[in-house]
Amino acid sequence: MQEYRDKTAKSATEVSNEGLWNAWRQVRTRLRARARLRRQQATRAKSQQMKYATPEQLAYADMLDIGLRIGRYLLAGTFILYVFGIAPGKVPLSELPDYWSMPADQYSNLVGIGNGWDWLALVRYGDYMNFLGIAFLSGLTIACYLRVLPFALQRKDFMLGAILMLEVIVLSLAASGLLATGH
Amino acid sequence: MRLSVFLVFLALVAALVATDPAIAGPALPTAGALPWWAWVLALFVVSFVLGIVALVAGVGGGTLFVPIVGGMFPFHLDFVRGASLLIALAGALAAGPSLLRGGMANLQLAIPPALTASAAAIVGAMIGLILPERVIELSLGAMILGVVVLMVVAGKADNPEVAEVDRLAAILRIHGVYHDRFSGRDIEWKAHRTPHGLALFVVIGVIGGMFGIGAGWANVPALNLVMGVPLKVSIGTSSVILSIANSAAAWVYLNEGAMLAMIAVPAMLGMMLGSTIGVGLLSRTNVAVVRKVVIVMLLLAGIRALLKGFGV
Repeated sequence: MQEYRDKTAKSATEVSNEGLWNAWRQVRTRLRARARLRRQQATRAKSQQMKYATPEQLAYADMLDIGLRIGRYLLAGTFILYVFGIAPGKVPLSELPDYWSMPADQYSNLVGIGNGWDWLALVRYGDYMNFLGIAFLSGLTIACYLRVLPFALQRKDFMLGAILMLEVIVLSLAASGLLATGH
Repeated sequence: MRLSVFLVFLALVAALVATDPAIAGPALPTAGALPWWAWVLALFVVSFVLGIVALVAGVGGGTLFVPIVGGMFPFHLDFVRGASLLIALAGALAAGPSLLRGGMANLQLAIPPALTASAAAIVGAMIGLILPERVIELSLGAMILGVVVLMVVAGKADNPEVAEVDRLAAILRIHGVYHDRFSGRDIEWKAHRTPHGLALFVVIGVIGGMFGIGAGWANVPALNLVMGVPLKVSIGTSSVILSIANSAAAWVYLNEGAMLAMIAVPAMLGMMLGSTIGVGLLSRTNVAVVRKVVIVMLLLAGIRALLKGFGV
């Protein structure tokens, strides 16, 4: 009787395992088919894009896309930390209305921050932590230009290469903080 | 239709609050009257409404943001301009990838004007931060009235005829092809009068940097009417040029301390949310009506800025 019970139990487990295995195979087949379809669609979209956009244009767009995603998360994350008081601001939130109607130079003097990248020293404060996301988004174009530069040089388009280099210099100069107005 | 009426109503309320000295004049700038969060919430709501209206009317958000928020809120114009640049930058960056991939923006066309515009935007931003606030208010008012005139009188050409490509355009390989979904055709295009266009972008860059506005209203006519680029490619490429020129100006504002996270981030979020909803409303709204309302809003905001500049 005991032997009979063991046999029945074993076969029930086997049946259950087989059912699971079949279900998994179905899911796997569907997932593979979907992935194949997605790959085909991506290839078709890419070939369609190549008709209207050059490879460097697509590389620029891809770089921009990735950077934008990172920048958005950085901006949203640092703002949440700031607004919920997890990273308190250099100027307390309740005192902000006393500051935001004054000119930028007066505000900087009161807060005790100089021009250029001096804000980096205050990045532990919530208000200046937000500058990380802003600086990232503002600097994204430089990265995109550097991504495109090899394409121009590869096809010996030196005119485009020179303009790209010039733009990188202009943007880096703006980012450097060297162009202070003494404002 | 009811939606247009609602948008018109929202826009007029915003314009009224921004321009009526009885409402926006001495009463609003007393910052201590309201807690900080009320201002930030109001900024978010106004940016959200401006995001909808600006997108439906086809004007850059920054063009509406600076005069209206500058007039309505107690924030100093330095911070308003800094926030506005970020709004324009975020919008232009976000639109870039899909426009570039679909061929509606052309990188080869964007790169040369972006160089002149970004160098000029740095100079404009530096001038803007040096000049006294009253001078900025006056010139902002005059510039906004100029935008109104441009919006009323400027024509547009869907696919302008370019008889002969100029030498610079040929060297820079400024030409391309885009797919027009409306006609279902691939349209080849080329450019002319490139040096004139590049010179115009110097002026546009200075204005954009000085007032912290995205200068899409000027970019598009420069590319379309002066350089002979099709309207759709001009609109798409204008966005890429804006993202590059605004990056340059944004650095100057950031390095000069003319950015406040509590103003810039809610404004950006509100404008982005408004634009997203605006895209959905675009096909259901009477664009011509909204555009007229925006012209009236800009007219009132321009007059208000002029009056503020004169100390009235």
